[in-house]
Amino acid sequence: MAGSSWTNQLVNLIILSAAQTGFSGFFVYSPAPGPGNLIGSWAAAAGTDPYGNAYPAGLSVETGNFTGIDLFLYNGTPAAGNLLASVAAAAGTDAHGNQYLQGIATYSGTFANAMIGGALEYFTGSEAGGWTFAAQIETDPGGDLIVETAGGTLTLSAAGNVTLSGGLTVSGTFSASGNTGSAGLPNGTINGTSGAASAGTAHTHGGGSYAVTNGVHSHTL
Amino acid sequence: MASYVDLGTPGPNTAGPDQTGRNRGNLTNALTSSFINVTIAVYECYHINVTNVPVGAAATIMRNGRQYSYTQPFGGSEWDPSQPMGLFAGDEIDFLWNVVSGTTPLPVVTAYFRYDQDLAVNKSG
Repeated sequence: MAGSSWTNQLVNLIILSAAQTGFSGFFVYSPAPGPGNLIGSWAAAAGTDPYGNAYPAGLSVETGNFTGIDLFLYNGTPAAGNLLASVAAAAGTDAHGNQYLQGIATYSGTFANAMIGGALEYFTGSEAGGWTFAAQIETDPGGDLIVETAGGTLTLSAAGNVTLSGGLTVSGTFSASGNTGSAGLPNGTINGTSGAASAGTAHTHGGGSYAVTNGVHSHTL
Repeated sequence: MASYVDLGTPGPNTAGPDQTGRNRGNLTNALTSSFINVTIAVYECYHINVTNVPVGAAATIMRNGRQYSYTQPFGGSEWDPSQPMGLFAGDEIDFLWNVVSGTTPLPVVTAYFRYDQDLAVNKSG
């Protein structure tokens, strides 16, 4: 109760006016007010307290934890379309109508990504219209790195070479639009069987000559 | 200049179901005239402490049925006023708590009184 002689009061309303310039705001010290003891502040303007502790404009927490809250970082004034990053336990919509993602997320135009334990997720959409899962990089209990898409292709694009140092398993269709280059493939490096679709009618080469042009060989059986 | 005589306290008063009729169904500390037991004509309450306050409970403090103060302490509180509460013999102080009578813990109010022995009214009788 403001102005009361009662101590240790609970209060229902605190209005802190920032009209006064200079040292004005809400300040927390530990263990007591003094140099180096400012552990938190909430002020309209940056300044320095009477003990020489500098504090910023807005909220400053210099020790402790944020628990049970969501964090939102805006690009300038908080507004629709201005959400830059968020930390949230669950997806939702902020006070300005921006739809945000679960986890530690960043937003840029029609793309967003979110880090959730074990996965880096990618989304398309917008802050106004919401986000659609597009792809993710994740790991599994076996320590595998898994890259998957919701429906799009996976493109490895490099200005230089792409090197696979382990084995390559293709469980789907394998196609190539390039070639081996002039060095070709070393003898004996192609193994396995070919099916009818790729090999045409089964056949056996006999003696004689045949020509290979642009990867197609023709001969007379 | 006042010449105070400390009357001390009649002791702690533990809240119970309201008997004043002003806080029906809730807890009330009724410091009745018989509880205060001061027969000095004019005296003062200069200090009160409240303990055992249930979480979230608040009290409207009445002097003779009129609101005098209000407190919403966190667990307990002390009242050290800039101006003491003036009282006449027979007056009553009530703490009307906004919690139902079955609430625990029961608030305990301890009030301290004094009087000015130089007041003419306190010298007679």
